[in-house]
Amino acid sequence: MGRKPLPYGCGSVAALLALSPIAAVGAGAGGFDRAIESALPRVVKLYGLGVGEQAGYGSGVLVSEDGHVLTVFSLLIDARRVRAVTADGTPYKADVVYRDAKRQLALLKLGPDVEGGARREEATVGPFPYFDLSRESSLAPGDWVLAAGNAFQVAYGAEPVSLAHGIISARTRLDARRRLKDFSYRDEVLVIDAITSNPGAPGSAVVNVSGEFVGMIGRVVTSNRTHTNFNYAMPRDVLYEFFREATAPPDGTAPPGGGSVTVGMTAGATSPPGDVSRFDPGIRVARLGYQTVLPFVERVRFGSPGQRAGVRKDDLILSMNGRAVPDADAYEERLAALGSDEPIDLVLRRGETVLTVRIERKP
Amino acid sequence: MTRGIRRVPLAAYPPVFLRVHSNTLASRGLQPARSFGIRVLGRTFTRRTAERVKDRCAPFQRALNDGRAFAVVSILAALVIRPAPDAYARDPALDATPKRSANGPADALDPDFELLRETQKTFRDVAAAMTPHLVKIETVGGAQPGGFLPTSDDEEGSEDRPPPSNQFRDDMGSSFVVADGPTTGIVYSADGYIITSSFNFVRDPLLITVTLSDGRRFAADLIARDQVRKIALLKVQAADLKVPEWADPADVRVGQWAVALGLGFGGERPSLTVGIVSALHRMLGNAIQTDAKLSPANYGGPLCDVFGRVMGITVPMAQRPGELAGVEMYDSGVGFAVPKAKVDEIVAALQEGRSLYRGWLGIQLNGRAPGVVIGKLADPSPMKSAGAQPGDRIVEANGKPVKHFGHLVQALYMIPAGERVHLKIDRDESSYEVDVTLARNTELGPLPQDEPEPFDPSLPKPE
Amino acid sequence: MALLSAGYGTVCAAADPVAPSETVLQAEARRIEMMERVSPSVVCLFDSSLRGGGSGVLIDPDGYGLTNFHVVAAMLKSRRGWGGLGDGILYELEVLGIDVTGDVAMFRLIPPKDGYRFPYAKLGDSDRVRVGDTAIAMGNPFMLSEDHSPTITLGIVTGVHRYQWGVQGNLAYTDCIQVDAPINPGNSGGPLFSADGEVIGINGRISVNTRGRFNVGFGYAISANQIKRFMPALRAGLLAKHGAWQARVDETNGAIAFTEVKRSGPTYDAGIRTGDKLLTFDGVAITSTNQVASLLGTYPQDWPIVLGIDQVGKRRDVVVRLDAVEPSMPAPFEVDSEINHREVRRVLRGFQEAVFDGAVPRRIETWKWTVTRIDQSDRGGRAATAERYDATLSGDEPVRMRQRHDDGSPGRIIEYDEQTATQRLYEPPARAGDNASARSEAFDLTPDAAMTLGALYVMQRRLLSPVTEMDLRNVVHAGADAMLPGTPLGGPRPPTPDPPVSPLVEGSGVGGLVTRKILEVIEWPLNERTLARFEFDADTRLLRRIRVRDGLVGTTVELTLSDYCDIGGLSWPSTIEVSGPGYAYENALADWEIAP
Repeated sequence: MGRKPLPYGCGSVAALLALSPIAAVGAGAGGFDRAIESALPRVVKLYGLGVGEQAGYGSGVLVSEDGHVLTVFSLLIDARRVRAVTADGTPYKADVVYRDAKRQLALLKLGPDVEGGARREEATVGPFPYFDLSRESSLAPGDWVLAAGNAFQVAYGAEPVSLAHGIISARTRLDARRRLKDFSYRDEVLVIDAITSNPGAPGSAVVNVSGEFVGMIGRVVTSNRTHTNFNYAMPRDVLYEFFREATAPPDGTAPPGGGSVTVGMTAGATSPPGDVSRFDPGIRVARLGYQTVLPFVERVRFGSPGQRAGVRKDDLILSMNGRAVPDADAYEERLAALGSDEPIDLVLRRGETVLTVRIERKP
Repeated sequence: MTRGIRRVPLAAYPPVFLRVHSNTLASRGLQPARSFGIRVLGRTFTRRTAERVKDRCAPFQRALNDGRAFAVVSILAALVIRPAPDAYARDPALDATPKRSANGPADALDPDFELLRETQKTFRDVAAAMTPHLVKIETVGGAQPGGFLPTSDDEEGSEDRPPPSNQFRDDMGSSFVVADGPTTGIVYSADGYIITSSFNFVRDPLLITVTLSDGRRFAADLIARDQVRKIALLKVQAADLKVPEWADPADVRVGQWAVALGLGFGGERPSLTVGIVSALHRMLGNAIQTDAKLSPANYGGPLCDVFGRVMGITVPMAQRPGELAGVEMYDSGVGFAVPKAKVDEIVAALQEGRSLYRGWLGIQLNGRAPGVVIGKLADPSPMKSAGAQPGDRIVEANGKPVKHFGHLVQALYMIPAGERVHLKIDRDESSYEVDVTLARNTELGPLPQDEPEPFDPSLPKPE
Repeated sequence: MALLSAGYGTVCAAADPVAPSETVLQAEARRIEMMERVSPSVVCLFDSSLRGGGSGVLIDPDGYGLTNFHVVAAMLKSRRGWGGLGDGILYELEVLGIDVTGDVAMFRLIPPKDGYRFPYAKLGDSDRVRVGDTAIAMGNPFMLSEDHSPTITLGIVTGVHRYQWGVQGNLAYTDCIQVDAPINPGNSGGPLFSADGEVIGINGRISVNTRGRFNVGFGYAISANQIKRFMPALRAGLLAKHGAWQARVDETNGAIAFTEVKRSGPTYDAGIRTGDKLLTFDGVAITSTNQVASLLGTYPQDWPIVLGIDQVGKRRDVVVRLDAVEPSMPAPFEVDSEINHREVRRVLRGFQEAVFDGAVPRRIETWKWTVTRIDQSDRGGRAATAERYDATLSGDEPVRMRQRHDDGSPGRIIEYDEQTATQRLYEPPARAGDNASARSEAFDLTPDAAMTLGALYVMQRRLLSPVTEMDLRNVVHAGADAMLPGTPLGGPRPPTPDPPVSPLVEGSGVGGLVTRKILEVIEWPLNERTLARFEFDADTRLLRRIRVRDGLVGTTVELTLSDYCDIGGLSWPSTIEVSGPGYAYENALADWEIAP
């Protein structure tokens, strides 16, 4: 005996059995019951199948009645065949309908598992229980949250996915990397104090104690500020924006292949192709040949955004957006890695004073 | 109430609505870093506005204490000229009425659910109460730590003191690489002393800036460090810092909530992680243990009880020496906080400018003999002065049995140089006891070299 | 201020002290109190050189405790180690039995003096555990404890009935509890407590990611109810083996069906054949092969399990008595006879105390009893013939049973000779008028009848002797067995329910699981060829069943004892049901007389 894919075409049997796993879970006075009952039916287990073997596994969140599944943009979704298993153990095929390389998100759509033996006549699937991303949820630091997903593939078939509980630690901008490359998404995330950096966890649903959807666990990253595995979730409002974009009616301008926002994942001096010219705040930082020197401002161009923000010659740049700037190279690197609409917060030392300026990019 | 972040462009609004930036005041000719304001709904107002708001607040202050929150909130909302660009806004109605369950009708009588909601409110309150007592520390410059590094000394003109040429080298205790994000500190005294974890100071920064919760920024001096308990003492030029309340150690019990706060993510508000007190009297009485997730994001910050009192300052720790020892355990559910009595003791030493260092006996063990047997003694060294000889077997340290090397490390690793340990030693058939004062590695002499083997021409040449 | 909607800035310059609600404070206080109450039972385990180790928990005041097998694996040679309790004392410990396949072991802290009572924790009903329940782990992660006080971590149950693969067949965690309470290396063998302070599992494994061996919120605990099934064997110092069913199931066409049934295996013996569909396993509806593997891994060898099958369209329940899984051991594990006999004595003493209802056990010299024997060999339930026998057992004489006819005429006499281990039958004289006292031909009866009487003889004679006088040289405690409520063999009635008292009470039957009585087995050779297994209710201590096996012929006779009643100051079964190959009958006690 071993782990085997569930038999295909067993929809009706599986539906009957759907009652037992959920019923065995959390009926009664447990504080997290509502969160559990809300999350479990709306999380799917994802499997990427290569040629004859599994390419990976992960989690996804049901976000529409018709079977749209939100997940992260990972190798998994590029597999030859992506399979999703819903909470009742029914397998489905999952097709990628939209992907966003900057936010590292992907939207899938469930369909009948034809290769697995489902009848072709079943053109539609569902209705599925889902999270309505447009519904605002109560959210504050200190709030308990529950993450539900298939980390470590502990759950199989109709077995309930795994949970992790913790609180919302903070809401902050993401400044992180995957191995050596900076992570492309740099906007707001929810920091949570449960471990999210486990294999299979990205794509897990995060709900509050009332069972409202508050976010989805993102790809595994290392924080640039702390060099530690960063525990976070993409917030609901960011996911909602992505979902709206992904499901907007076609207007003929979307690129073929389902549409994707093309910003590369790499940080560095090279501009992404097709992008507008890089933002130049007009500040020149001192260099001394190849020697490493402290990043004093050598010159501020007249009329530049830097000058408007108040930067002056001889200011010493201490940090940019919360990260210390040790030298001119670091300054350039950090500047290039910022998001195209991200403002630049500099902490400067001027004489004995320490001050902060914010340089806005001109709209 | 708005939700989500709304970024406010600098030019669009008059300065009073900005998050505190003393630079904008500076650019308008006002005194930088000295003006203060009060924070309401996430923003700072200038002094005059602050006074007006304060006067209006008084009746509502009482209402808050009575718990008539809902009314107060709606009234205070009227004070706000523009909604706060606040990431954490929430609908007060959600606090008042129980939420509809996803599957069934609303159940107002679910006590476990209500308990969870009440605890999350408590955590928030703790974070709010502690915010004025926390500082964000940013450092600039300094070398990246890594591998085997001699300990840096930074007082008593120690640049003159050569690094130890003997074999007693300190190492970082971990190969963890310290990032350059900000770290957290706690106000220790109103006159400007701040305690933090020495975690961020292994790089020997050129410049340290401290930002208070009200936005004021100061350059700070590193007064001294305790390498053993990983605590650093900073000083800023301020006279009105808000000292937090510390919990009475007798009140700290295993199982109570423990909230760790930190500013390591660079935001203005502290982040929170929650766990319980896992054990008392760890690390030779130097630490309270918690399963709240501790990491560089909150090292140097407080571990608080539900009353907002500080139970300890969180630092990385492990049962082995090293400035970074224990950091590899970040977020593992095993974390440590140094409680008040120890902190006071340590700060008293640090305030004199005296750093505390790892203490050494000055011995090298005979690895081939079972148990803890002295192989070589450094000269000079505490053990040499105590009259120990090679072949002596250490069997007890500070009352704890020593059967192998690990036991000795466990008994000594948290004792700084300058403090005494009591050893029981066997020699041949008898045993003796001795008090030994641990020394810094820079105070130890070299270990005796092995005699070189005399050259024997009949032996085959080595390959 | 605390209730302001937006974030948490201070308001009005003065910061109020935090005032948590009464609900929060009371819940916190309850938790603190519970942890204080149970943490003294947590043990920091060390090997004999005080080096590596893990955790454990004491489960009775005599110092018996549970841990993982892999924690004591290093101590197997000497069977000795150290256990530190929160009282600061380091006690010497003795390793008792091990369960390598399931990664459980028992140990005993050696009391410093007689009558010493250790702090202990109660085992809970792990079938009642639900996802979302509070879960508290206690132990010694990273060997951080210097005073042997445990490290306590808090979390919730994040999964139940989980399966974690083993290594070469060993150390699999089947049907285990998943938690996110932080569990790290060193926590192995320590207890997982429910919010009420009962042990619902023993922690032993974690999932790890690329960071290394640190908690990442995925810990696994062996369920308490699984452990309860193995505890008698572990206490008795045995190498406890798990059950094997010598079959294979796979998912085919939406159903779980048997694809392999090994001949001469227990599933084959129970009548299962390839192609049969498996519907329920011990009452649990089966939906995946994973589930079957998980459930199967929680049973010991010889345990009876009830399988609901569909055989060519016909649904029925069968009882399968499991075989044994041989764990792969680097070195053979010797059973320590001293440890084992200690348990034998404990079980027998417990039986005597139950029989004499707490009064001082005394030796009965003369037994006289009348039984009505009802023949049930046709098993169809038809009313069968009844015979009455007056039996006498006095001093060291053989048991003699004399049949009594209603008209007073002499009936047959059955005599059991312990020396020769034979039973002789004397028929009454065929013709009236012959000397009534003359005996006609005697002939030996079938050995299994002898076994029955022999077992009863031992029961009535030996089991009530003072334990200290017993010759226990060849007597062993063989672990645990189980009794199902009403087997489908049409035989014994279900035993009357007893109030749950001991930590060995099985699950509550929540979720459809079949409830069982756990029995402790004492194996007692009647003679060279006959072995009797006396099976005592782990809960009430009463003797529930005797199984006698003739090793030479290969037959087994089973006696089930029930309806305990008071006969002159002792509790004794008034109904004994006997079943053997091809026959079954019931002995009902009609009258008795006992004399000390």
